[in-house]
Amino acid sequence: MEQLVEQLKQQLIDALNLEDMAPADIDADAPLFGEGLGLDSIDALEVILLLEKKYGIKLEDPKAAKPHFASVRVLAEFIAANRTK
Amino acid sequence: MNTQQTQHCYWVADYMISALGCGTDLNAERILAYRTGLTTHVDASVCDKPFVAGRIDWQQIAPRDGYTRLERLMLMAVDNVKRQVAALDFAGDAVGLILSTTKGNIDLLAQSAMSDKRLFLPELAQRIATACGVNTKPIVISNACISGVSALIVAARLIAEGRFRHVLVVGGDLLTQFVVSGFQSFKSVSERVCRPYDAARDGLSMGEACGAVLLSADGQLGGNQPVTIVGGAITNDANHISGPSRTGDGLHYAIRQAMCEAQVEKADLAFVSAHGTATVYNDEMESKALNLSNLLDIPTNSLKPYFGHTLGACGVIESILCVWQLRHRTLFGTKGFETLGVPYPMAVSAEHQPITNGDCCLKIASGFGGCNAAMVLRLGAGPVPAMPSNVKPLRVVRRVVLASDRPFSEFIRDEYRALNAPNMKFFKMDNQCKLGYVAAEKLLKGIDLEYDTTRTALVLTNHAASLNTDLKHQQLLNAHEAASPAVFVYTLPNIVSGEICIRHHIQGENTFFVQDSPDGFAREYAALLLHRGIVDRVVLGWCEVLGEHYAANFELLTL
Repeated sequence: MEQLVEQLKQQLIDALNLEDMAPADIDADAPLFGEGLGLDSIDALEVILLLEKKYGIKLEDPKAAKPHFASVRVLAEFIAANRTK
Repeated sequence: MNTQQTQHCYWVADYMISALGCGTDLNAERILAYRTGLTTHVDASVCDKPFVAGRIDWQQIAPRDGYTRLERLMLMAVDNVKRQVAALDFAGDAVGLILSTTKGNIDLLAQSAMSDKRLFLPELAQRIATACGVNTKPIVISNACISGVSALIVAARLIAEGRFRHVLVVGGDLLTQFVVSGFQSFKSVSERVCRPYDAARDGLSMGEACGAVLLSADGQLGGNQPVTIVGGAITNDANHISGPSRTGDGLHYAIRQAMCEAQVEKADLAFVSAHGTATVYNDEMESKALNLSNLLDIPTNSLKPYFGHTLGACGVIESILCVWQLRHRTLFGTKGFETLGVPYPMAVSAEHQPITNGDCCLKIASGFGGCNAAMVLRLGAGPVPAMPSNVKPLRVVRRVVLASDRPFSEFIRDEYRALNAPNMKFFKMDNQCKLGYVAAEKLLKGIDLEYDTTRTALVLTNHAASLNTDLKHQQLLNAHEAASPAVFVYTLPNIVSGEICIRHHIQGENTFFVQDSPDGFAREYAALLLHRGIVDRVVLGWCEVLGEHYAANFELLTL
């Protein structure tokens, strides 16, 4: 799981253009949206795209995806349970 | 400040083409019969799965050698308008042309990369002007989904000023893989016919359309049921580049200003023709804005269920149908509406109804970049409006020029670092927004704009619109990759206006003109805004990035 968390951090940094941030700067248990990384609705759509491309997880309804974005760790656990690649 | 008598702006002639058919009356007839142009299409060149959209029947569009699909639409609409005013000479200095489009000839990008000049909106506009015999330099407005209403407002202002005696406004956009894939990446496209304001709504339906309108100071041209544009305003939410305002304040400010300029009260309004895209958040926002404006009980409709969201055309064709509804004393219903699903009780009905009260209508629109527009149309002419007039020369408070031979990414990174004002959002922006953002940051450093957020305007301009990022989006499509929402959102030139408005909390007029050079119409328009007292300050900026060629030239202007 820790390995997936670290990999996911780097993928988020790349996909969301989090310039000047390193995986170590992201708290795996802090909220992804709102405060913290300051992500917004466009970023949420990019994360959905990332899940599809990298892990084969399709989420059609952005609203339903929200609980999985609580933190990097929550997202990693969701990926581990649902990934198809 | 003095006041000056101005010219009425009469609605003289119009023509529209949508998925419902060709011609204003035909579109109105089919709406009256509750027909929709939205159907399921199977066309892999637009989308790899079946999709619901409003497509024009291209067999009905006159062929024209050497012209693109969009140009054929526009010229057919203009020809039909010209036919209605056969006595008018379009060739003189008295006639202006304003083109409204979000994506122009974007369908050419898939094949030609950037080599086709017709991808550039000023080239498209000049081709239309030349083909329809207008000799003045055409003006292009590309301001996301408010483009059409913006174009009509700008045209009315130019006629009021006496700058032109007649203005031809042409709005059009095509249904392409480019836009369909982008809106789908935003998860904002419904799989069914869209249902504005309904509790069951789940997204918009795309459409393609074109409309042409002749506006004139000469009421004699327009027949025995004159309609005039009596007020208009454009604002920005200063909230988010793609998400509608959480409060509706930006749209409310536009409505308030437009009604004030029109000297129109709530009791004068027969109806509101709303944007009503049927996305959850747009419709919510409109209900909040109408609540703030105390207009919830005015009958309101959205025409999107009949022909879809037609982007740069929607403000023009929906206004054409506003005029039709005013003249025929009939309000179209919002097809498919059943149960209200917005936070405030708007007066929406699925059924058509007779208009019993009021001679005016309010047309509203909102779009990406946080822009809003509101316009008031009146059946009849009313008194000649008197406008503030203060023709002092413009004063340049500050000017910022950004240009260099260095690679863009290095240059902009150094400029951004030198600002010493970190912003998490900066590196998410496309290159054009980065350039405009840094230019505005330097221009406005230490200047307090906030005493009234609506009194500052942003008039931005460039030559390539958003082609630099359009190409990035197209490359994803050509490689059969999924469209990226973070790329697609920047495929509108006015997003840079949105970024600057958010950063500096500017909520006044914002209009994006696409023109050949920095010395084009935008400067004249900035002067108009100041002389007419519409705003107290204008940020006038040229902001262009095309590959490694880039330049920004921003000025803060006041009287």
